[in-house]
Amino acid sequence: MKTESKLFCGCQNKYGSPPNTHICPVCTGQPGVLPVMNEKAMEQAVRASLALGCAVNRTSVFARKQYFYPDLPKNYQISQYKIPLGENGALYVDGEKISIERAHLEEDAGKLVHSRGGITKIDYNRGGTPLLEIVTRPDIKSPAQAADYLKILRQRLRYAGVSDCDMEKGSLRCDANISLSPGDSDRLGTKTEVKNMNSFKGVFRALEYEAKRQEKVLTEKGEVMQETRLWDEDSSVTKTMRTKEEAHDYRYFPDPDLPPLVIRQEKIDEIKVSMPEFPSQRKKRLTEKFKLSEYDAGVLTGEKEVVDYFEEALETAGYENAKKLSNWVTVELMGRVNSENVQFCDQPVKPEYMGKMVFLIKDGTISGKMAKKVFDIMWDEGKPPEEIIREKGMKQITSQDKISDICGKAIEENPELVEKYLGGKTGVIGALVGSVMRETKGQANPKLVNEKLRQLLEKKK
Amino acid sequence: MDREFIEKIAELARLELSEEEKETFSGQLTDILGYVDKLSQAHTDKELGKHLSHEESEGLKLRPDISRRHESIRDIKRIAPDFKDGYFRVRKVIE
Amino acid sequence: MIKETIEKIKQGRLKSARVVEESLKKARQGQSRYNSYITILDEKAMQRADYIDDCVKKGEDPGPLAGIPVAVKDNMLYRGTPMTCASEMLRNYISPYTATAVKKLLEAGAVIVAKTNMDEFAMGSSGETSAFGPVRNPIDTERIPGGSSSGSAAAVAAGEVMGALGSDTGGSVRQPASMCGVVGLKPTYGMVSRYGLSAFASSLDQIGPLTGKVEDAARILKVIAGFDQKDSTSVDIGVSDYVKDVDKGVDGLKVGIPKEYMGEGLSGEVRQRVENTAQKLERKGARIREISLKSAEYAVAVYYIIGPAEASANLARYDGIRYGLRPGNSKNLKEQYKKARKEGFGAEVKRRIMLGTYVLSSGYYDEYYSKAQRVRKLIKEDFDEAFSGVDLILSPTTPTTAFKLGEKSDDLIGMYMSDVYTVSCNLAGIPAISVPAGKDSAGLPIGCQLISPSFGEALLFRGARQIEKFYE
Repeated sequence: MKTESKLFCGCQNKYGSPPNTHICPVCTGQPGVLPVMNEKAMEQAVRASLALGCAVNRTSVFARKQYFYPDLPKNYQISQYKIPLGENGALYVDGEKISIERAHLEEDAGKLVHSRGGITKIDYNRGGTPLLEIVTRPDIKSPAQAADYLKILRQRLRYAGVSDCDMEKGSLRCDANISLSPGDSDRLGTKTEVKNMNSFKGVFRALEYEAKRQEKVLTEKGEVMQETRLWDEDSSVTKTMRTKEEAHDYRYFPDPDLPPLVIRQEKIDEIKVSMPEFPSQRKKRLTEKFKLSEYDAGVLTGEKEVVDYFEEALETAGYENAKKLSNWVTVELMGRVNSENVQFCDQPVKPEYMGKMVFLIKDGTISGKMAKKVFDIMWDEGKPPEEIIREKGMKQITSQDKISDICGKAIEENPELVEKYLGGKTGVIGALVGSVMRETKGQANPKLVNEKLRQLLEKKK
Repeated sequence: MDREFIEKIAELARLELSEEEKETFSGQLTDILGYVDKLSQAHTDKELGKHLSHEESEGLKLRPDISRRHESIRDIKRIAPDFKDGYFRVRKVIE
Repeated sequence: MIKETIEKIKQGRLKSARVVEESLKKARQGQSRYNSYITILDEKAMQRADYIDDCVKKGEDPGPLAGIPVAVKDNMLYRGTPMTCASEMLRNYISPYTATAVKKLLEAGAVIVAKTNMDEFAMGSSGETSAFGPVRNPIDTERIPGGSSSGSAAAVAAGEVMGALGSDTGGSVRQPASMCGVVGLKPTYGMVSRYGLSAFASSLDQIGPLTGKVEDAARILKVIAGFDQKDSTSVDIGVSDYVKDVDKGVDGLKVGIPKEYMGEGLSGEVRQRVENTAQKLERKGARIREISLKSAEYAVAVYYIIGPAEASANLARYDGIRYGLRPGNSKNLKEQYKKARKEGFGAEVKRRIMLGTYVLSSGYYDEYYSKAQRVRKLIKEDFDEAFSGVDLILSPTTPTTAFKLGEKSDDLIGMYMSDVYTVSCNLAGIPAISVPAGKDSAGLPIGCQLISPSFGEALLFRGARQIEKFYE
């Protein structure tokens, strides 16, 4: 989750720093230390729970989950067990309901780096950072649906501003339980747990493999062994985790260092009110109010920052130009963002400029072709479109007299083309238009030019 | 408490007991548990939904989300049995 | 009393350096006899003392405990100094930060001269489980001083320091205070911050003062108590001036004596002393009555489930990875854990970890831990009911006076039972004080315990001061 500091201490919650630079006595489990909970983490957890349709438990309890591992400074993790923060939510994937059993707060462990010479290195920077564990009920019906669920989960949590949900950076992690059962049965089969999937695609492929593997086992042996398996991305298989012992006995008990977390109803209401509109609501608004297609609205609402940008740009573009603006944002702007390999939030074109530019295309001030140049200059120099148009004299030629003149000139200069046109090859008008555009350095309004040329040529007939 | 069970508990607690200790503990723990078994006679309500050590007040006090650099980072590294090149180090984890 | 010394130091008539030097000298001399200390902080203490004297010279306020030599139990962190918890596991540990209670002592001008010996990780009632050798009772060096704050009690009893901090989880401040003939207080749970106290049982632990006189304990409590943001179980209730009313007397106070505490297992002489004390209080205007704590018989059992359970989790961090003992030659990680904990922990610690792990393990949680927490609630309710009729509860602190070293080593249950009058207070979170009530026929100190409702420390000091006067 996105917070400035860790869950139970004031160390910075920052990814990618040099190892063991964000540590303190608390998050390295020194003797005598005590946890003190981060207010923002509570708010983010509530926000996430609300975003996932969960009921927020006004009182929830922290519990110690005990096991020994070098990345766990106290050899217990402070988590929630019997009474989690959020319960009974749901997400909809293509209209199908995926129930969310619980969402609970817990602290993260540090990071292990395996080294040569039988040594494991430990970085405690990540230790103690706030996590929200979200557990679904066994409603997911296929590996593809699992991947889709994750995509929607990611989108919603990003919209809520709770987390970046970046699987590469580890801010979204996923473990899956999977079982097979005969088509007509409601009972769940024996499940295996699959871990170590590092991307949405990885989740899909791992579960697809595991489903096939289980099917084979069931056919041959009749029984699947309950175990934990690791996904190996390189060899595209799941492998048994070679642990000697049976299931962990975590010996949960309520953490005596932390009184129950009590959240006032006013606080929950406050957070509810501050929640952003969600992707589906946003999309609906775009299709209904601004008459965008499902597809366009879908692309725009893919990321909150994109649709926020769009709606701001719409103010200067004018609502009636929503479709054109949508094309410009999704094709030109996002295309440029991708090719320059920057984050959308870092791109240099201000939304009001983008919107203004679209407005100026629509009102005929510049041609679409000119606009592409204007866009490039906006990107490189960050200037507003009107200034660029003025400076570079890009204003479109729209006066009928002028166009008449230039067209007349083009007709005079290209007798062969005129011959061909009059002879029935009306397609050559394109070449005439092209010549006019070259002559005017692209500033003539191509539609008007086309119309005028036809007019003049018809007269010649 | 049988030996196998003692070994299981010791394993969970990452304690290695000598044969002698296993035997002594087995007897001692049995005695202690025999003593605490009297608790079963005490009449208590069935559910204590959330076992609380002490009375609920307004619940957990929260701290503002501000980060700071702790003054003891260097000390923490210095007292580590094996800290090198920026990392705490330990024998390889077998997994 | 430390009041006079503080005044003299503040007025510049006495140098803290002199007082501290004297204390360090006595401590060194006593060390070979009583083994009260794990580390004596000569250099740091003298630096501190000089600093206090400097403040006085400059006309700055050195604080309410100006220049007083105190000792701190070696399970509390004091930055830059060793802390061992009397265990091999932490033999070479140097504290990277300072406990809040210790910090407050320092800010009040006190000079910390030593870290005291104790039962290993505070688990014990005799001072015999220390990895650095047992502490001996200054009154009779063949006998135990009590535990687990053994060294703190002995240091005060021997007059080597003017006060000490101990920690009390099931009686570990009060019981050694009683056996050494000094004052020992366990405050209300949450009154004193636990930040920087190596945790034994998180819901039971409290830091408390051990002193020669009741008023001194009040003085120290005033300094160390108070809300601490670093401890989520710390109570935000404000600190009273405990010293102000200490001599107010007991006229009109209702004092109850639990009948369950005065029966079997209690030594005849101790029983008599408590009864005499009750009569004396009556003559001073108190009203004595018998009360009943119905669930008293379960208290030790509850304590020996909850304590070890929480301890087993609190001591899991000791694995030699981030700090502590790391024996060489381990083939793999699991072996490394086991070796460190095998060599680092003594028998009593291992025993309690085993017990705690067991009662929390799958299949046994409900029967033991969950049940114990519910009975704990009954024990608290007993006190609530009792305090609706009385202001204070009077009882013995311990069933016997100091026994001989080695006497109870094989009698585990017997050892555990010496906590019978003290554990209930930790379970209920209420404060209690042990005050010296003379000696028995063998010359060994007897202690009386007073118990009050939560945040009733002022009343405790009043009652204790009166009892103290009887036996001064």
